[in-house]
Amino acid sequence: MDAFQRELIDLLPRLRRFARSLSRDHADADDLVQTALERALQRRRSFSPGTRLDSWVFAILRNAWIDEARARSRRARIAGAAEEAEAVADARVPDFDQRLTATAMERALAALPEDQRTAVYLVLVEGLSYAEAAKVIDAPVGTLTSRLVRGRTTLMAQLEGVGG
Amino acid sequence: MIDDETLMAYVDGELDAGRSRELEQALAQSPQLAARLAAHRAVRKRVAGAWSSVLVEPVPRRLMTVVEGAKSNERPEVVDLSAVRRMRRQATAKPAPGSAGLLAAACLAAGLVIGFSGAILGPAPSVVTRGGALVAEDGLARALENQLVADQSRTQAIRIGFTIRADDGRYCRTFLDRRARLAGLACRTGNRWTVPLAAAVGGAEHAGAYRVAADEIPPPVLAAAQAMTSAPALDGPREAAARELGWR
Repeated sequence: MDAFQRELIDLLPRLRRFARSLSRDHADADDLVQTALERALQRRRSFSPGTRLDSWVFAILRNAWIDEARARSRRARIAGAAEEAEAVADARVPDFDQRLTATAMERALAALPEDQRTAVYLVLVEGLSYAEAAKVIDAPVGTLTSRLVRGRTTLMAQLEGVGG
Repeated sequence: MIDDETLMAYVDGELDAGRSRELEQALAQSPQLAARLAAHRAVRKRVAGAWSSVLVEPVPRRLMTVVEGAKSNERPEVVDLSAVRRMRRQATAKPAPGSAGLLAAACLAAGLVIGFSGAILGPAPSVVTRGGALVAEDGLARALENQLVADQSRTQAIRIGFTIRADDGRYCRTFLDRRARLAGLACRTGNRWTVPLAAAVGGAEHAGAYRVAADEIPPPVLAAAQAMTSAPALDGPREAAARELGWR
């Protein structure tokens, strides 16, 4: 292995955590990490040394997730409305263990619209700067901060409700 | 009026100095504002721990395999420390004006070995010069002293390759220090581990002429270890016994 590969290995726990914030299903989350790793290794030449590898791979993982979601909705459209409803239900109900282990905060985050959840995740969980987080989602800083503010406002209201 | 976005930016460390000062002045005069700030801090703290349990889960083998199975971009190369020692002798033999000069000469010589480039080894060099010999220190010294090959996990920063009993009676161990990006051979000499041979591994982007890599111990280090003994490497029980006896 070379330095790039070693750094990817070191990032694995954080990549798995990010994937878990996107996909509620644990196996799907790890599939997503695998796709991101494969793409990162294929495209390693486009990584500029001296910049942050974590942000770079996070962006790849997020794009893989968006591709996956698109493919899923395409499949659902082709399969027809009845099966679509079933597929959506499947995706939304993780198995019993997974539900039990989620904390109140994780459930509150999972209930946020995905764009807001990702903004909150990158800044508050990963500790990225606004500029780095904006790069990951490939959007202007203003877009990032407005998602961050909306997501956080919702979280604050919910947590106050449960004595947060 | 200070809005929530400003308070959030403040707790995220994203507010510039001027606006931070304004906010702090306003805070001193308004308990309500201070309470809102405290609420934002609390949310930040609670969100930060979300999904933290994932970080301590074992990483599935298949994900490691995706990375490890990919083609490596680097080739190993080795630095012969006896050449470095000769250079050190020359450097210190030269009369240097004043202690600053001596220090510079020593750093120059040591730097060749310890940090082929400062960037490789980072803030904590694992091999230093002591009384003219290269000696393992800190984490590396502890690993050499305590870590058994059989007990290692693949995530450890320092990995021991194998242990031999050299023909001169010393125990020697090959090692790979991922954090320091250094691989080499260390021999228990008296009460410390001296390092007769080491090579920078990985970090080709920094290493210049010492362009090297790999997560494995480079072949020349293995060859040097094998040349020191006519016996095979110690097996698990023998290695454990040698540690029990303090590698003597």
